[in-house]
Amino acid sequence: MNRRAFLAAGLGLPLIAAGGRELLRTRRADFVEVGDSVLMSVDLPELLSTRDRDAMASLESAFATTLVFEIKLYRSGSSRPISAQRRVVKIQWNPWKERFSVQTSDPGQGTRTVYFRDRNPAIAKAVALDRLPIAHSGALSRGRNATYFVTVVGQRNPITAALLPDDELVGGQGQGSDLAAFSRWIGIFIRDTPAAEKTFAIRTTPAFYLVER
Amino acid sequence: MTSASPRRSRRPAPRVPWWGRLESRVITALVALGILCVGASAYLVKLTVEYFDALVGAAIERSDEAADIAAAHYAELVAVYKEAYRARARALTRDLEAELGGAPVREAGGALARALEGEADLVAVTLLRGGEVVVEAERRNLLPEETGAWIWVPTEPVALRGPAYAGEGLTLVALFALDPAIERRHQALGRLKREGEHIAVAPQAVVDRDELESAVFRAIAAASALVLMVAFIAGFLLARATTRKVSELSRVMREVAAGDLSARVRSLGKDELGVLAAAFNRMLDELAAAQGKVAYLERVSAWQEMARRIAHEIKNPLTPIQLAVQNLREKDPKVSPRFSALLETSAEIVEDEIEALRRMVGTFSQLAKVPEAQLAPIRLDRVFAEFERAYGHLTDNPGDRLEVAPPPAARLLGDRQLLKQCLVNLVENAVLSRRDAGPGDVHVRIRAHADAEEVEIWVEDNGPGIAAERRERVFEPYESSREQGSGLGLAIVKKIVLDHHGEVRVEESELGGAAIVIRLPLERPLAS
Repeated sequence: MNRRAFLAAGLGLPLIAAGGRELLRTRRADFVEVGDSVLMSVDLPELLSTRDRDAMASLESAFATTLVFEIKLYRSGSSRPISAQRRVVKIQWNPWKERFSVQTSDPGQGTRTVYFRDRNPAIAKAVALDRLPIAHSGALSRGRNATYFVTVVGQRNPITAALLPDDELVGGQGQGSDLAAFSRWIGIFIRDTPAAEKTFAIRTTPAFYLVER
Repeated sequence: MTSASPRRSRRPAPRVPWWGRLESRVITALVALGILCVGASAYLVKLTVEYFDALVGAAIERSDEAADIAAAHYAELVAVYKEAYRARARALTRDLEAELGGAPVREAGGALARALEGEADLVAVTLLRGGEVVVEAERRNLLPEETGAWIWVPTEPVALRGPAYAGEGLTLVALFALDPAIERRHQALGRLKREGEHIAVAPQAVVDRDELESAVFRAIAAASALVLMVAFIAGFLLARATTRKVSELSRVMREVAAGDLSARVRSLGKDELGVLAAAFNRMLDELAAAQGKVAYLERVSAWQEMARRIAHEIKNPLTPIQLAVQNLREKDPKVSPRFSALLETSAEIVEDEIEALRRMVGTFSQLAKVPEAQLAPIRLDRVFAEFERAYGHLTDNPGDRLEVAPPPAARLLGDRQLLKQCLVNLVENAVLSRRDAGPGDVHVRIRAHADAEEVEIWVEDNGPGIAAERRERVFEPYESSREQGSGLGLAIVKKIVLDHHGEVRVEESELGGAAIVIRLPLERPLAS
């Protein structure tokens, strides 16, 4: 294992953990510096594939599909992210108005909704991070010696206990203490908690850098 | 204990291993049993979990099917709603045509407003001409759709077809407000369908059903391992507590087998093994005692054989020698006084030595002639009475005293004559010991007492006593501390006692001297 692979493995491990045990795939992304912002454009079509029959059936049944993107910027050679942000995209077929809505929420930037008559353009919009601001250029070093990459962990319909009612807790309220103790005992041996209906994680490659001014 | 019998060479007894085979077998058996029980239980639990998981899976599949059916119903419901809205829009159009009755459409505002008042879920009605709004009426103060308070459903444009409006290209569009609860219920259905395979096991932990099943198996396996570990430790402790005792018994048996009869088992408690160990120790005690008796009797028997031969070889020539000396003395011609004096002196010396030899032969004969005991039921008081009759007068000294206490009414298997000889030997030995110690009166006391199984006969004197280190040796043949003692009296006593299956020992007497204690078994236990 050469040094780069070793470094990649070292960097990958915490990211794998963060990404629900999904392997990081490499993906080419576009980075542009506009004003004082660095914008990234990358697609994750695997997260909501049109070939995924269950996902498409769910979508066409007018059930809302939520996509959550965790975006982190790293400097090459470091395992500590420089910045991290979260984007939530909700795509849904509206049978009343017979259109697809794609609702994008970025923290601190409100919610934007766009509508599509057809499914595939709506999906393409939902799985695309288009000109997403990932950092202020002032926070990054310039030059070839300072390269950066971005990891994106995408989750489709993430599942959290908060979404489940309290009375669905096994060994929860109203149940015997023995069952509660047994439930805690079982909890010790749960290795893999599902993060989402589907998780897909990428690491942008090649690394980018800001040109000298 | 002295021993004349050959003994096997002493080899060091092998050490009991820390981890014995028996121990490992017992623990292996316990652990195997534990594995069998725990394994069977775990397998049954696994089957149970799989069984209920299959039931839950079937229930979830039915739930999924229900959700799919409900989703299809939702689509049908939407279609029905929209068809109804279209129908109502057409009806509104026809009503508007009738109300206007050919009036200009710019006067339709009032009619549209009245239509709004008549339809509670109607939000807006718009008359369009070629895409441009001609007249519009809408309900005021409604929250926008984005708030989630409503779902606004527009209808398709409906053309006005009355004779007055034909050809003007007028269309009516109605906008209805729908309660969003129908949408929320549908989304809730979708959430339930999506999360059907997941279970919340903690406030912030959701787990997949398959993973939960695997976790249950792992938890049961871990619990089984813990139970097995506890069983192993408990089995180890229990087995060790038991097998240590067996190992201890084994160790002592090996030492005994190696020739060490002094080895004894440590106290092993009160269970069966403890009782076995105590019995084993008693057996060893009796074995050691029996071995000592056998060795002693063998030695005495050897001495008896030697004494008989010596007596025979010495006694036979004594009489001819004595007759020859007497003949020499009688044939003295008395021609020379010096010769006669020499002859007389020599004859006396020879006769004295002959007498000494006769006495020695007598003692040898006494030992050699001790007969084998003829055991028969006898009463102890009769033995004492006969002894008193025969030996009531201790010595000619009036100060000397023989005190015989009445014995208990005990019966024993014995030889009356030999037991009396024992008493005689002991009393004579006591008298001689006291006299050797110096001037003074002799006091000898004989008493006996019995317990349930044995009788003890004490013969005590006021002599110098016997030192503790000599108390075992005094019973050996020809072992005496007195110059004139033959050393056979106590040896004969011990032989007779051993022939009676009894024991004899030396104690200190309250009279100040020695006490020879004879212990003999009773013929039958005393009544009380």
